Amino acid sequence: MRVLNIASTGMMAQQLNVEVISNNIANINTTAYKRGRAEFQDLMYQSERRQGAQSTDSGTIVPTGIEIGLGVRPASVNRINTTGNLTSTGNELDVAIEGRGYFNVRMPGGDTAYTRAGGFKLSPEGTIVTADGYPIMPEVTVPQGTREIVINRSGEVQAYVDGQTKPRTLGQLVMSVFVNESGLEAMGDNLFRATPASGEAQDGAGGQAGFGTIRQKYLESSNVNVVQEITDLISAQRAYEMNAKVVEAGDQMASTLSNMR
Amino acid sequence: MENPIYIGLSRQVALRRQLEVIANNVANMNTAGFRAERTLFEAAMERGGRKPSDQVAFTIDRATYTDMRSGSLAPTNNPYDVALDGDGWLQVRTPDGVRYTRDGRMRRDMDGQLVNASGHPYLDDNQQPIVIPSDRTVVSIGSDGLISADNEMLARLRVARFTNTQALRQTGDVLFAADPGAEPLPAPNTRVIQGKLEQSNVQSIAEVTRMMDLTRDYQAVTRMVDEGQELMRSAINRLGKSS
Repeated sequence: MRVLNIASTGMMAQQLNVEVISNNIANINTTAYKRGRAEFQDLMYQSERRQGAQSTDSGTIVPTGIEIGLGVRPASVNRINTTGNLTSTGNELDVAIEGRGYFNVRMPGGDTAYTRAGGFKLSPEGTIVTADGYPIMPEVTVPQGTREIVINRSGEVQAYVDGQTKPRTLGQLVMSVFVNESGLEAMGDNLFRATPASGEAQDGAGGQAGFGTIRQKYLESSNVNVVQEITDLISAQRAYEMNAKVVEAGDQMASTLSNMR
Repeated sequence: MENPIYIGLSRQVALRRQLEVIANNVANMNTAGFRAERTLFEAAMERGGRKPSDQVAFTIDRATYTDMRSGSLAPTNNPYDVALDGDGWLQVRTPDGVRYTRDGRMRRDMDGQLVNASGHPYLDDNQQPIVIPSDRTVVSIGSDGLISADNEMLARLRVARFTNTQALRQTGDVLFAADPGAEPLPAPNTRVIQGKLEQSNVQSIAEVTRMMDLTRDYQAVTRMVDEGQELMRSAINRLGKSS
């Protein structure tokens, strides 16, 4: 029966919806996580009677036809790229981007990955690395005896070294922006990879046109809003139940039919 | 003699199609910009015999039509989401021609164009795709559809209106096609609201109620057909014996 197929598309769509919501909630405390949103579109319509056909030999025109929609399909899981709240941490290697942009990270294979999670650490050699130990690009190495690291709005990294009164410039945090950020491929671990859909990375520094500014001693929280997620969850759950009811009704019809003699 | 079966059958077919329409509505409960479909029934008189009293009424599901009430507007705080307040429609260019939609889930593609989930561009006043240059950050969309970025005006979303809303048919992908001859008019009274999305206008409780009614009707029709059959069978038996 067609009704069972239609209702099952609804159940599958809501299942995906709940999966996306559960991932959002799971990442509610993940630095710089961007919430995903499952987006749906209706499927094609099957025409049972064309509109505009002549209904009788007297020439009456049927104004509207019979069109049966075939259900729903997930169109995309869109990443909503609004900036999360910036929270003060006091840690001098925590940097947040206020606005657009991604830090460049060198992966073990030599590829470039992009991240907005600026909770950086120092490697044993003094290189600034991500929480997983991947160096940021271009590499910035902090010399021995550094008392304080200062990162300004544009991403310039300076260090106050013991015995010196003037700060020493160590390097620059390069940022990349993409025309279509939602087109980036999530690799997990807060990392993203460029794809043909995202467009080429354009490099720049903080504060330039189209780039966000860098805030030292801050971290970007996830942009997940609990209230919204729970509301969406309830609505998805109800929708799932309703679709299940439709399956039940369709099944009842079928069984009524098979009991006929 | 067999008329009860055929009448019952016509009703059953119609009810089944109606359930399919309800199933599609329920499946699209969370589809932004979706509009519920309804079925229209009609009793059709068909000449069974020569006298008018021999006429028989059949059920015909005449048509499906779209419930054109707006869905509720839910805040999303996403700057690329727009909802329309009023009877206007956004326009999207597809390979099959211009389509109309209430689905304002816009996104930028790799060329900076504002596109829908299928990658088809939304159109501006001049029927052209809207391009947001890559170095623009803050995109704001005014209630008149004016899109500006970093305080520079870029384009104006085209919002169209139809005098006959039933001239639009859903074609899937939350897009509507206009019937030939239906001219899109400007819609000055429709407001564009940034950061909100129009939800589907499916009223879940109403759909479930309709579905329950329909299941009962179906059972009743089945019983009627059954009883008609029983009547015929016992008539055949009795008449056969007496002969």
